[in-house]
Amino acid sequence: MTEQKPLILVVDDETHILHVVSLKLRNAGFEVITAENGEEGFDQAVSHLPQLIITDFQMPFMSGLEMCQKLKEDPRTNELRALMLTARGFSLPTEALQKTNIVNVLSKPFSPKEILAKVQELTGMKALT
Amino acid sequence: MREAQTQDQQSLLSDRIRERLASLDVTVVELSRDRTQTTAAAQGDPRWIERLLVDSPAFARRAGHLWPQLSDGGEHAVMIWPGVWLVPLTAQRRRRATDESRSENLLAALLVGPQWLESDQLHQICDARQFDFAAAVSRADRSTLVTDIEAQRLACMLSWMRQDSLDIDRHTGEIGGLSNELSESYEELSLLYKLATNMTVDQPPTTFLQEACRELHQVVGLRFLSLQLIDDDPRLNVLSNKIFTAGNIRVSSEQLRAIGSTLLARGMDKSTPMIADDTAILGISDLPELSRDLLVVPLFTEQRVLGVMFAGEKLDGSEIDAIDAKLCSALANSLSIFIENVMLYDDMQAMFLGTLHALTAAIDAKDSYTHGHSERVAMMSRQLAKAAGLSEHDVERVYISGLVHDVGKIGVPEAVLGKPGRLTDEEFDLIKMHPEVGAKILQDIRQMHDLIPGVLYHHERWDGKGYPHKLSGEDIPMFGRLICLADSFDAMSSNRTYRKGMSHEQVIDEIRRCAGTQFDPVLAQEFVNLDFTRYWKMIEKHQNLLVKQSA
Repeated sequence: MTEQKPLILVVDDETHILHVVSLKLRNAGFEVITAENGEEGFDQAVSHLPQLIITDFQMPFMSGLEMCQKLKEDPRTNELRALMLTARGFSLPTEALQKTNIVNVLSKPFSPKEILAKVQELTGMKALT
Repeated sequence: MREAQTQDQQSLLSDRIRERLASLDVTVVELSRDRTQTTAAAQGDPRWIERLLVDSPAFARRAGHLWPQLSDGGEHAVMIWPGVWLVPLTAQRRRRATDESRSENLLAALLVGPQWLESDQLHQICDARQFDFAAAVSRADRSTLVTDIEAQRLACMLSWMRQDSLDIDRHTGEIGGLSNELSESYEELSLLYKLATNMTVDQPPTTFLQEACRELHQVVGLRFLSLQLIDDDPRLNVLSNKIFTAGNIRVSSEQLRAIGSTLLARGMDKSTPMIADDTAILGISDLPELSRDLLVVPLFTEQRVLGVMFAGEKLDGSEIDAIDAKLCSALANSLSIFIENVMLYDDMQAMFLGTLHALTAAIDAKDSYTHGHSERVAMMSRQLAKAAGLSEHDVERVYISGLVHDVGKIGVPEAVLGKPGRLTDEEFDLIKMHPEVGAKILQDIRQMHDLIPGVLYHHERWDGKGYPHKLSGEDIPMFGRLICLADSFDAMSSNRTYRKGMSHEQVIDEIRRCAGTQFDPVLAQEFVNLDFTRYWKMIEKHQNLLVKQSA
């Protein structure tokens, strides 16, 4: 199958998280772009329309929650889905979550393998091994 | 692997620099040390005057002479001829002592200054190619010529750029490496967290152990993993002699078990895991077939070895190392604690039941009627509790409460308990103390606190005319109300010293009649609809026992 590699956008202000997640996904055959805050993430999402967005919650300029709300409201991006990866998931209000495109909330510290499995599940890509 | 990386890095670096310089219209040439050729390395058309140079054998020879300066990694432009400079672009590779100087190709930027247009060498080149010197000079694009100072400046900047690029590449490589390590650490952490959270005693221990092995196998990256427990400690119960595996085993389960048993029998040093790079030297049959290398980690408590975990053949082909051993050790430790907990829990259960039996035996010893009565009351109370919809946990606790509900009778004189005739008021008062005495006996056993209401309140009445506290209605704890029914039922049904037992129908009628006064009406209704088959069987068994005793 010569399909194009699915594109994932990873948004987090902590660069080590960006590196770890990107590395794991790239090694599994995904194409990955990154952003360091909600504003950048929103712009990237609009320009590249990734298959899936993995985002942190608390970030400067715009939080992951706000970003996902904006993405859902925008007709260009309202079909995009997001995975939230956060150490503060317990403080996410459910009504706010419903106004977003977030399909799953995973907590930090995370297992990179589990993230990969979730991404594969959500993008319909079977494991390579 | 590192070597290959720097090779790739070098070529990427060269490409990057080549592109940038081409976009600035600077010619890049590739020089070879042993051959006398130069090839223009950049795309696009080098200027004509440079073309002359690049194609000239004299130029290549001259560059060859100056190879040491060109390849020393300095920041200066090397003057080949007046007005012709080469600025080296490929970085110096540090040579090992054993290397001869390799015939590497060198990339360099070519810069030309006005002195070149008046030089002897240009004359010679033109002569050699039979070009007219004046025509050649007039074709030169003077706007591209650089001065000596400009050449040196450019050399400096290119050198810095080259170094920065190398640093960036190195850092990128380091970040990649760090990310990898971090990722693996996250996995290990995640595994340990998961294990610690799931290590509860209320799930089947076999499930937990199997899951743990599966997860460890995934994280540690070995081809297979086997956990084998000892078979000679009865406290292990279902865990005894059990084997848990993960990954690709390759040998039969009998062979695997034999290998594990041999490892266990050989004894292990508790403090360190063992790594064998070549299993052949261990001299265990079938082991080399299972794995070419082996990590062995014992599971142990303070008292003894509980089992052994062994695994082998890293999937990435590397050798088993201390890092793998440490992770497996940490896990084995957790599992040992878990198994120990399971055994302690079983011990505690056993001790609890033992205490219970001691109490009920005490009751038996006291009064021959009470023999069997407590068992029957316990059984019926449990049946009633189940019919009334209590939780599984409560249903079991009611049973135990029923077993000990009359333990307070120890405080009542035998003469009173066994009196065939009518009791006096004083004698009756003594008997009425048994719920409180029973509660007092149990109150220091923490695991029996929830049994106390059944013991203390099984003589309370729904209408509040009971004892010891004259509670009424739903103020009477549920256990009390349940046991009350079962207790009265058995009392009415069985033969006492002062009267014979009533027929089953009579007892049921009486219960119906007293629903709402002596008994909880809802529970009474449930009770009369119970199945009494097991009860009658138990009566028969107890009567036979009594007959045997008196014989």
